[in-house]
Amino acid sequence: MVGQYLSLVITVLIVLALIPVLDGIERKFVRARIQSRVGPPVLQTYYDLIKLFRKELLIPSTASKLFFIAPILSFFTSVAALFVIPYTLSNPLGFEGDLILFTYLLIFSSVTALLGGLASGNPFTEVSSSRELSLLIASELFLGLSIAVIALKHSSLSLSKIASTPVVTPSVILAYIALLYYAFVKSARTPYDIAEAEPEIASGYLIEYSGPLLAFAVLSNLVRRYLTASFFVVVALGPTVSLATSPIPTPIKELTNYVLVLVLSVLTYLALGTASVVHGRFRVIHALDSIRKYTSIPIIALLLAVVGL
Amino acid sequence: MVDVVKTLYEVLGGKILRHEVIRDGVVIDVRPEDLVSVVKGITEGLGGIYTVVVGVDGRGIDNTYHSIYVFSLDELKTYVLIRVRLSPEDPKVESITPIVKGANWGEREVRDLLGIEVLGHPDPRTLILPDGWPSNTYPLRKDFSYCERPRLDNPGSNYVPQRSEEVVALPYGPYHPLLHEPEYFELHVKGETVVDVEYRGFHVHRGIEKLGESRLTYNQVPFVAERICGICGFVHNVCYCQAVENAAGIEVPERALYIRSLVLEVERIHSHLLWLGVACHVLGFDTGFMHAWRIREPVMYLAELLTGSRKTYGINLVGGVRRDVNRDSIEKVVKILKKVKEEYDHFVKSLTSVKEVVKRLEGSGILPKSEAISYGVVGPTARGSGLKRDVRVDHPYAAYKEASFRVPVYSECDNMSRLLVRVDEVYESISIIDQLIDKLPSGPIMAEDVEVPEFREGFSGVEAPRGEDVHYVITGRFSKVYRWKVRAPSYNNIPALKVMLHECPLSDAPLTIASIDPCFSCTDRLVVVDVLTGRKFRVDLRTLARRGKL
Amino acid sequence: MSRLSWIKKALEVGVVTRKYPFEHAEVPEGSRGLPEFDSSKCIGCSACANVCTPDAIRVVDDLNEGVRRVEYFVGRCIFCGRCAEVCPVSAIRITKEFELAYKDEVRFIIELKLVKCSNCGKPFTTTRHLNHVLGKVGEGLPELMTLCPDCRRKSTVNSFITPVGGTV
Repeated sequence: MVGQYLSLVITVLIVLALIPVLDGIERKFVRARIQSRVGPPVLQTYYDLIKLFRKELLIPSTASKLFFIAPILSFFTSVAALFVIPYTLSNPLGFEGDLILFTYLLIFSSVTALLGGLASGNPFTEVSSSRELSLLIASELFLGLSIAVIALKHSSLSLSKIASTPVVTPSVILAYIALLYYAFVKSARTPYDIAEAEPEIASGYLIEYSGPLLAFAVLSNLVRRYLTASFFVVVALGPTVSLATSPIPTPIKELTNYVLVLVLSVLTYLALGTASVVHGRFRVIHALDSIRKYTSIPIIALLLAVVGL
Repeated sequence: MVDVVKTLYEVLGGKILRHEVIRDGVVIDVRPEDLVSVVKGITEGLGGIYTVVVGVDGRGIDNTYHSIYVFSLDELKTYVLIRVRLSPEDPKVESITPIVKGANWGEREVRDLLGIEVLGHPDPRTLILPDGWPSNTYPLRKDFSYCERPRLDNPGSNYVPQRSEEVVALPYGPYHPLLHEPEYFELHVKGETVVDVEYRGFHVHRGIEKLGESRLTYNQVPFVAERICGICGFVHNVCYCQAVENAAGIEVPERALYIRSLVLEVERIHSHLLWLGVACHVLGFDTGFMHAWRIREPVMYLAELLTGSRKTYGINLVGGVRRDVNRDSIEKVVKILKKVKEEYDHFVKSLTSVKEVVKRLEGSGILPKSEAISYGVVGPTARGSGLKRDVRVDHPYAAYKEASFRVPVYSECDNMSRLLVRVDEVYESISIIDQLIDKLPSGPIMAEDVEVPEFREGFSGVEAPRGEDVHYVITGRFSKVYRWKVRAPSYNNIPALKVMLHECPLSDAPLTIASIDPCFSCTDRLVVVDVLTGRKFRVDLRTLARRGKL
Repeated sequence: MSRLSWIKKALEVGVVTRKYPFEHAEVPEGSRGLPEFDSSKCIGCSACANVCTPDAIRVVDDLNEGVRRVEYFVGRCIFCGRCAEVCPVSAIRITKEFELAYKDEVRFIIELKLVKCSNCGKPFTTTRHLNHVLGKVGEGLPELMTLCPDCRRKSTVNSFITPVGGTV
């Protein structure tokens, strides 16, 4: 049991350490490559974060306490969500209902980040937060519907159970597609980076952050990006890679599953990054329209699930 | 020209005291009390479009102040310069802003810098001079020495950004990721909709006109003129030289004219590609940004090959150009441009696949044609609002008579139209360069006798990538210019932003501002104002350096 | 065309930016960079300083030491190349050198000896300049050459007047 916890902690630490590198890979080998640039070193995100952590802490006079707490809270919530993901078939922290915990942590992390920005009192954050909130409401409905379908078809709210039981019905497949799209929206890359939108609202909710606080805000954003990609992999591809029904001995099964989940998460992360590079930024209304349009997918999935497909 | 003069007399009758035909235009003298009716006659009767207001301290010439109102008669292919002479003790003139909106800034500038009182002007605020500038001190008057640095009293201001529950005032500038130059837009935003705009510019007024009039000889001015703008500097360079040549009656050798046109078009291609890149960046499409600039790079190389410098080409002098092109470089130009055209073609076609970019361009930032005329907008901003105006056609200069090209006009009046105008113009520019190279005449590149007589007027326009750039020159003694007035295209385009931004969604505001391709350094030509905090003051270099260290 | 055309194009053209300071950047022939001064040729005539728009080249006479200094400050230079154009002895050459950021104010200083007026003793130009002009006029008025412009004027006037009466 102790070994299981230890391996979980080690896994989370490894993932956490790799996330900035993953961003570096995206910047260097995806974004820069498609833009015909040399691009920054792979470790650039690390250099950025180290520099930010070394800088002095500046807090605007108009800011409230929340401004200080929010990015840190946001970061640790997102890290907490990392613990809930079943890297192996059995997660020692897993329980019946951890799916709900995971979504809760994910949403809590993005909401706190936003509230922190809003607490700075800068007019740009007001615009930014109104944008992010409308995006949040639209996309969480999306997530909620998809999860409902998956939970319904698996008759379970446990992530590990979902990740190891293959269920292939039209409704579940639609829900998987919806989850991938959700990961795209949630990654806050173009075209859905309307809350940051540097040329429009000067990085929006991040505008007043600097130094270590900015580092936390940036890092929690990156972790959320990984979380949504990994969540898709665990839920949609997990059953396939878990090899639950194959006769291979359990230790090998566990290991392949562990490696495959990580590799597929990384690939999904980078694939979403690639899609983002060939997109411009949506006008707010268009972003909401597009999400609304695609909400039909999980709705249809739900209807199908209800009728038993 | 005879027809133009005849038409002018037909419309204005006895109000013309005297007329003088100059190259590229007609100067008419009118009585100050007739000014408003004459302007009405020019705009309503002849379809004149406002170009610029020039103030001159003519006390050294005929002991009066001059105020010159320039209108472009596009159909008659000429400029009309309406001059009123004002008393040297108490210069006062009626405002024409109530009938010509575009003259708002021009008249305020004349009031700020020359102390010519403009009666009945709707906006009493200063435009260029900072708050706290001493009264009765006018920097462009001849008795104000170039080295004079007046102390600013009252370095505070009572400017407070408006705030209410519903309307949020968003400061765009003086430093903002969108605008890489210091200027200040305050967007009053209700939800996501812009309801009002305040603009304050001239933070970096450099006093270039004063510098040119007091410290430089006429052949040094082109190099300073070129530094008015960091993107399309060469147009200022050409325009100044043309204005002096027009004033002095210098005939520039044909080959020099071709070289000027050639380089101007190379500059236009690089400027438009730069803009396309920036537009993509503003729309969050950085891939387009990078590729536009990738395509632009060979064009920069071309410029360096032809002139010896990537930017600030510095090849013009009064009377011709300093640097000839050889067969070798011309072959390279043809070869490189062919490749640029292919790449550009692919770029434009690929851009249409990015739906969210296209959607944001369509229907945003509307500038109706009537407003475009009233504000006297120029360049792609005018052509995107259905106005067929292009200095290259309306007032041909350099070698543009020798090339046939289309003037792209779109009448949807939105950001898309302005983008399409520029997209088409790149193709036209490439074609112009090809044509000019085919016809390039041999011969000298510099006029033989360059004599500049004193107190002659010259006026010239050049179609910059951003629109019509005009320079007005009065030659002076000791190979200096007596008066040099620059009006960059953005000067006429920026005031029209108020119309374009009204009721526009916030997400489109940056694009709309960018859509006129504003060039603030051009516009500002002319003390540090910290508008964000509402304090306006001058900072000396030492204080700035000390602050930098903090 | 679809969005994929961007990716296709990027793969086709490859990486176009360079690791600049670590990699040499090539500029075309005839590009205008740092002017190079040949102090052995310079005659100190100030033609370059006269055309220099930003006052990057200045000519200062040090009367105590009896030298004329031609100073060039790269920080003000706009690389227009006008100085090379007007130099009567081709002492200035425009190079392609453009990496010109230095820690200090780098000045190229040429010191040239001044000639004192043989009459009033005021220094008025450089020895080299005088020789250059002498070479141009050929033989003629060598005694006038050593006079400063003021004394020369007086001397010329005197030469007209002397036959009639005494000196002025």
